[in-house]
Amino acid sequence: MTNDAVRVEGLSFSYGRTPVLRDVSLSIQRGCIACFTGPNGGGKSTLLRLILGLLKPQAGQISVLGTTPEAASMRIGYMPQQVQFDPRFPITVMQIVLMGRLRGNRPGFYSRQDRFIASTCLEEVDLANFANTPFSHLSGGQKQRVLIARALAVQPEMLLLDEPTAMVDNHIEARLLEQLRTLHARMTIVLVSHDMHFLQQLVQVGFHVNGTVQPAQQGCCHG
Amino acid sequence: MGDFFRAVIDPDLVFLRYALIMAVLASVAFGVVGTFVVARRISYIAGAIAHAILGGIGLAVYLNRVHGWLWLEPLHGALLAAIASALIMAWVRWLGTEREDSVIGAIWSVGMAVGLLFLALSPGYSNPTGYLFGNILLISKADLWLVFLLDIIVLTVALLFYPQLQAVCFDEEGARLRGVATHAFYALLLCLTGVTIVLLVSVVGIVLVVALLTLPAAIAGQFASTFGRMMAGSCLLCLTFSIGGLGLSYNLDWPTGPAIILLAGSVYLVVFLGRRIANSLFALKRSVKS
Repeated sequence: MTNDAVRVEGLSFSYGRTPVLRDVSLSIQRGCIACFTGPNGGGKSTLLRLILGLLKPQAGQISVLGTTPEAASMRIGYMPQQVQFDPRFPITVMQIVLMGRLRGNRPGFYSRQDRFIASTCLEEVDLANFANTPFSHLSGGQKQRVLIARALAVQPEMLLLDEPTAMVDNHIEARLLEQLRTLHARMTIVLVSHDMHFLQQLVQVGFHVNGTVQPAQQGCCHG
Repeated sequence: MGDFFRAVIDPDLVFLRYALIMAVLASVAFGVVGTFVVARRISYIAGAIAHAILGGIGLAVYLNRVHGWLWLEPLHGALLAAIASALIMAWVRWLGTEREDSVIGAIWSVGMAVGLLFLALSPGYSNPTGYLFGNILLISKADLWLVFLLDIIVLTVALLFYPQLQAVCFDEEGARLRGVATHAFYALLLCLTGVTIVLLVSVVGIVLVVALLTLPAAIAGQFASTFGRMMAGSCLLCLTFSIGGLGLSYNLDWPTGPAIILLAGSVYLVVFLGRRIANSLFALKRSVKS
């Protein structure tokens, strides 16, 4: 088994004729907390989506958890930015977390075990009492935690978080930091964030993404 | 309403009984699929599919009368057109290279044009008004059996794939990462929508059918905290509006389609304004207290 959670070699990607990433190579070791930072439009979220297999590279190769991004996606917990969701969608916290237990196109409802795992994940983010609360009734920080719980319900080997501290106050940020430190013992964590203050406390290896990728911070893991 | 219910059991007014049974049967599918349409915000796509149905109806009438395809009824043409336009919309979204709103507009108007053209080319009297605005006299016993069958299909699919359909409506990308064939489920959702629209075209007509698909779900969505409750509320409201509208239509001698839609629209307006006023009063009370 390879020791790299993510390995990218000679990756290039463009939207139409607009190049976003050029000749990117990087590796993130298993068990590492890594972060992509950089200016808006620099390609951070695109790189994350390529790692998730939601986009296909025009050149180069990506290996995630020793396989292709598409094959690895079921072993990855992904927390998107909460702003992309319809705030009035009629859904409870538990129903969202259960989505982490979806297994392809298999017909039928969630099992008792799925519900148990989802409840455990809600406890882990201190939202056990909110299981039946509508998602629309939660604060920004609580919504972030629900999405983390959904990512954890996958029982992932790697957690990918897109702007986890966007739209949350300092108190929530501190709690999130604590939770990520706890989770780090069990899995690789890759973040996209603008928040340098947040990064310095947590991240072991950083990458500055702006069309190309440069190591920004070096710690126990190698960039 | 007493007169209406007496008329329903009158053996000479079979058409009214058929319309009532149709309303009951279709309310279930409308409530379920309407919830998906409102939550996924694809009302405009439903509108395009509804209008494209006229193309299928016109073609079926033409083939029936000109080429002697006697087995081909307008309802069959409507179903084919609904599914074809749903698949085209799903394909366009999957390609991601065309403007979806332009394709919606094209399907909407080209479907209507094809329908009107074939109806004009068909020998004999063809009045499109019945299809556009509904005519409960068009409902036959065979239609009721077909609607019953389609109801079972819609409910079976919605129940079997409830988690996937809910996930595709809430977070398509997240569902895809969990191995859900999101493009296929989106196409399935549009096909279910198309089939469901065909169910009530004979009662409220092509022009008004989307209102009956979306208004009950939109009202239920104001109060429901979960998808399931929104579906249940939407089914009940759809049933109430359909039966209430039929009753109004019978008692006041109004056309059925507009009576149903005006009832649904009035309730939507009252709920919308009621909630705004209630929220304002609540905010005022809170500011006075503080």
